[in-house]
Amino acid sequence: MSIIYRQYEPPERQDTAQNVEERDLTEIRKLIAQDLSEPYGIYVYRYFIYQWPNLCFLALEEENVIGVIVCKLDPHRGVKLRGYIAMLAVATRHRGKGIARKLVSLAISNMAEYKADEVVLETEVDNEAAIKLYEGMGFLRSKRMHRYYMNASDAFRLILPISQESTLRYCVLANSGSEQTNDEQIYG
Amino acid sequence: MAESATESSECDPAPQTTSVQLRPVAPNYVDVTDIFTQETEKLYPGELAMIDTFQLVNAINALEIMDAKMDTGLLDMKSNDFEFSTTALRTPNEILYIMDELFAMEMAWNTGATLSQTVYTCLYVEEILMHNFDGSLPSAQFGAPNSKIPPIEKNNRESFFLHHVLRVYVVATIKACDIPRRRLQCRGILEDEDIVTEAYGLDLMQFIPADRVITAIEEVLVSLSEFLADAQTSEPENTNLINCIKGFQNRLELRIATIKYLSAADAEPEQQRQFLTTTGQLIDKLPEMHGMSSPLLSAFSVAIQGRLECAMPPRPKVQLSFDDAIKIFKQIVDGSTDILRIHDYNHLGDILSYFEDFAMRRPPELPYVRCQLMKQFLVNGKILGKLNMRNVLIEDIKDLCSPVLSIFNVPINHPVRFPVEEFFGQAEVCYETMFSVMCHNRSRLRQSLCSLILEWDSLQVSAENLESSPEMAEFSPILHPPGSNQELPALPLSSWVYYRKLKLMIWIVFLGFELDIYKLEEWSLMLWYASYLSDRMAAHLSRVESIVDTMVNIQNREHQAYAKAKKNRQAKSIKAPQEYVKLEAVKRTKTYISNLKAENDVYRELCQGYLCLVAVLSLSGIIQPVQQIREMAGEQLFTSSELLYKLRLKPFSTIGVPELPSYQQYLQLSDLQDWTIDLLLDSAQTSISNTRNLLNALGKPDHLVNAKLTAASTIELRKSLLRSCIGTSIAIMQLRKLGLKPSDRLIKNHRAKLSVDREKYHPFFPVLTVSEREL
Repeated sequence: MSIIYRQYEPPERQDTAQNVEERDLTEIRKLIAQDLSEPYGIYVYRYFIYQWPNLCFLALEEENVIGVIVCKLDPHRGVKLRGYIAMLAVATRHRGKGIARKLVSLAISNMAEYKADEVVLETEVDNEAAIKLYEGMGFLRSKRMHRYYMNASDAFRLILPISQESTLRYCVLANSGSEQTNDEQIYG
Repeated sequence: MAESATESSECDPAPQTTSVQLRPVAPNYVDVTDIFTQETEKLYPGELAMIDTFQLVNAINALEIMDAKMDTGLLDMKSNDFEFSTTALRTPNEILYIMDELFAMEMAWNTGATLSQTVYTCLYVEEILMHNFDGSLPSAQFGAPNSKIPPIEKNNRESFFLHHVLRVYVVATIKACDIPRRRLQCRGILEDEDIVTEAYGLDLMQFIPADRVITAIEEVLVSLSEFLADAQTSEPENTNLINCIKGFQNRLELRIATIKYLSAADAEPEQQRQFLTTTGQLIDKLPEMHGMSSPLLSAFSVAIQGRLECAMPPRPKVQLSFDDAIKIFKQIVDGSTDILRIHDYNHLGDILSYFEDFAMRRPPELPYVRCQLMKQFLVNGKILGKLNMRNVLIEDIKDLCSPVLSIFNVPINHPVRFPVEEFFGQAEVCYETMFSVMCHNRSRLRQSLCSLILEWDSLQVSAENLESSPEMAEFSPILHPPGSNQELPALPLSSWVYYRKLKLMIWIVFLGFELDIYKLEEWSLMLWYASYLSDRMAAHLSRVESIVDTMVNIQNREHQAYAKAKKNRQAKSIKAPQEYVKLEAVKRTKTYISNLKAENDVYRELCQGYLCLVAVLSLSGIIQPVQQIREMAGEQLFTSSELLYKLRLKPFSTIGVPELPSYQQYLQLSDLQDWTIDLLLDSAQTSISNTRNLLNALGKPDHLVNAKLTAASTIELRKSLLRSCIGTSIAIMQLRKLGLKPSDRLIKNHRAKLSVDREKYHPFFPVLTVSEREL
């Protein structure tokens, strides 16, 4: 059975019936909720998908959503354009077919077209499959974050640099005070 | 309905006599239902209407009512907690279970879980904190609000066990969370990341003095002894009862000891040590009777989250075994005892060495211990409550550089007095931050160090500017080594800053190996960069050493010349020689530098060995860069090797000295064209053997400078380095057996199978194990 890939389709403005309103979104949510340990409310999905519908891709088999990637792209600390992969899920029975890789590729290509300087995401340090997937596409582990998830596990921040901007360290601090600073405050 | 945004003069006529606008007693409301309905009709279903400042975090924090994953209220609605009676009598074995499970929950909270997933899940805790406690100790009971605690009756043992024994145990546990909870809100410990101090609006008996809780436990212990004596006399065959009572005694005694050490956290070290020792001894008694406990699972419920003022989604109750809880408690007690050793320093440098060692510990110390170290270290802005940061910093500079001592005491009217003071002010900040980041968790430590090196780099610029000033010549002299035309500027401040900065940079690189931040294909780059930094460190230490030697030589020559002149009765005609340095201090500096060089050589040589090993893996195609694989597979490349190089080394990209080598330089230097696999394996083996020799030649830990507090752990770290050498030697042997050939193509079915082994090895040098796989 062939798998087709397409962008998320926002509901038509004139469609006001409840059953039409968020057909893709409902499917997306169902698929992602099966996999993610973090509970996301409808607002999180709306936050991403309604603002960046062009960065949400679906994999479908006979109109059934079997894979999805949800992303955003916005300026980061005023110095670069950062793409962010928020969610990626593939239905269990369809794993191992390269669907996740294809979805990530589509998302990155699109972000690159929009002049993203880098793409980032977080993943659990024990999620070998995710790490293998992203590292296989060039991502680097930039840092480890202690007890990042609700289940108390650590996370890796993964980054794919697309332009020079991603690799520049912007120093805003010199002779700073005693306040402890997070690297995020210093370089984007 | 919404509160009116503007107050119309009709609704709120301001009195003529005053210019101050008076608010009405009740707020004014206007009905906005129609406006709201009108506006929402402009939206299409599901559209997110948001203000510009709406961020992802707001979306995440927006809870969805009636969603089981989001709405904690559902937990409460679906639970049977209302059926559980906190006044129902329980068997002594069940009481024992509640105590031990509550203890496990307390320990789980200490490792970073929320109170709502741990201690609060105990329904007896909830009964006291949410329903009964009104600020007075007697109100902390299990009956209805304002009930009296049932009196102790000899013929009603179960009532006594519940309303007195368990009650004081629960109260003491609450207090044992209250004291550290307030203490843990300190610099170096990160809320949510290390520990969650959120109490959800409940009063953890903050204003009940610890002494009162202890007295209450002691009173129960007296009665418990009577119950025990009675049981031993009247029913000696009832060993279950007798053992349970003994179990209660152990647990209550441990609660007293715990509260004593927790409340004495700022007391004299000796007193703290005494309380901690008692606690440590009592912990060992705890497991004896744990086997007697009989589960009462319904006494713990995660549904408490639905009854708390809690805006987070439901979280499961933490599962922690009793044995693991004991281990955590021991770790806290042992760690809290150990940090008191900082008061036993001989030399101020011992304290920094202790911090460095502390940050290297495996397993890492728990948040309470890390917080305690910082609190013991910095008391009212002074180190150990008595020393200025400046004192410690000066000793550190003296240890490394033996500078002209007057640099620390520039006369008040000297032109460089102010700039020198300014430098020391800036240095104190960098120095203090260095101590505090060493109390961070390991992941945060690396991030904090990445920030800190910027501050040290900035400090180096300040030091160099200062020491390039001609007025500084008398404090940072330009030396003319005897028999040479060379000019050697002493630059003690710049040298010290550079040493400290290099050390932090090297640490960042190695922490990446420990935290598993580098993928295998990056190992060669990071080992190469570590070698590069170690080379700079070796060169820098040699330079500092030669300056010290030169100063001593010059001083000796001047003294000899003066002595000779004096002997010839010409002393009055020549100026008395200047005493640049104290010879005793120089001796210490020379030993210190020699220790540092030896340690750096070990790391440098081991890096070299690893680098050769990883080069073999690259040359034979076992490790292949992802970019290369994607290119060969004709896949779209989103990035480049150069960008990846720059991103990986980004933390160092703005550092002035040592300058980050360019990608082209790296490519040139890492070219393996002229190497063969056998040659690389030989070279790896030689470096590993050299490292072992260097390790054996290191001085005895108790003879090292600034190592009084760290001798034992230094031995352990050296042993782990030795194990890394042995493990890597085995990997080299395995690779030889495989008879690898160079390959510039991807070999999917390679015979070699790689894995990274961290257990038992030095954290900075995990071992690559190689095995042959079936093809």
